[in-house]
Amino acid sequence: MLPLLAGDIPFGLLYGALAPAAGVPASITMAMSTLVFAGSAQFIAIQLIGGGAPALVVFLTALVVNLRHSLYGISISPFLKHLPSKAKGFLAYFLTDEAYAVSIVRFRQEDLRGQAAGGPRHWFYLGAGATLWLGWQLSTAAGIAFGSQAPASWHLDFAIPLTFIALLVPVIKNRVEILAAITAGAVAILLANIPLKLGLVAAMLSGILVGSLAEILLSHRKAGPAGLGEKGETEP
Amino acid sequence: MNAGSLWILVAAMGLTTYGIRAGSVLLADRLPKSAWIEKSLRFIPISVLSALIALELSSTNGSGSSITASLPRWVAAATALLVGRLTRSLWLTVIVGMLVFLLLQR
Repeated sequence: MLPLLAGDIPFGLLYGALAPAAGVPASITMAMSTLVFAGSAQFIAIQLIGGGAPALVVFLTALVVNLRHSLYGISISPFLKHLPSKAKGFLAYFLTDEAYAVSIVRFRQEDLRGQAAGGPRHWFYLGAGATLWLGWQLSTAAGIAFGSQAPASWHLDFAIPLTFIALLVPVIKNRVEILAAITAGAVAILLANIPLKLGLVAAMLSGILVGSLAEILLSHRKAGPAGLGEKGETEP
Repeated sequence: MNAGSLWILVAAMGLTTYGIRAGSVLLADRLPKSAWIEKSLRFIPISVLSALIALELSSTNGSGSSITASLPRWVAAATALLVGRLTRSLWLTVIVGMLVFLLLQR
């Protein structure tokens, strides 16, 4: 669990320290960590709130950013299917990037080694999730306490885009992803003066669209006209 | 945004985030599975983060000409990007970026 917390706690500290600097009261900063419990979405929300975005734009952006959790839910559900719905509903609250990642890796390894499915597997997931949850709550609180002491000359608000850079680096792995990132960034700057942060919304959508289209074009070229026999996505 | 709107926003964000998590765990068998949906979802965090970074770097907070005013931000961000790539450390990325930014502010 320790390497997990090593990623979780600094992130929570930063979030707690920076949210009040973006104009979110301490109580709501803390409530967001408990109710939403999704690091990236929380950071994005405070940056948007600090920039004066309307609530609807913040809400929809957080919603879209959290859509990826549905992939985690679908992927992990076969390992939890022996549980009653109530237990699944409870466990779903802890479905963060990190809890999903460590659990799915372990479950797949167990499957490869031929260990029996079911049984106490969900305890591992709950252990990871609850540890991360506690680390996130405590580090948010500590960050709030620390952030309130930081002098204004430190320009702590600039740490938010730097945190985004730290988040972005590991998820960009190929040229198509670089293209999506540059598209979104360029459109955001070009449309920066459109009211209600709608330029930002357009930028996000163009990044997703250009990335997906480029991916489709590339896979067609790779498969080629005679690529029918190749293994790839086999859709029913 | 006032405190009342923020509370409503946070509650709504909490409900939808939990809804996505619980809905996908409970209804996994009934949800459509497509490699394309999966691939498009991957571009969401990339696009959202890049758009927010670019907007923040280019903003001048209403002071001075845009390029000179935002230059320290771009230099600090480029340094942070390099540190992030080399070290993969959240702390080092943020701390080095902040130091460069604060030094250039003087």
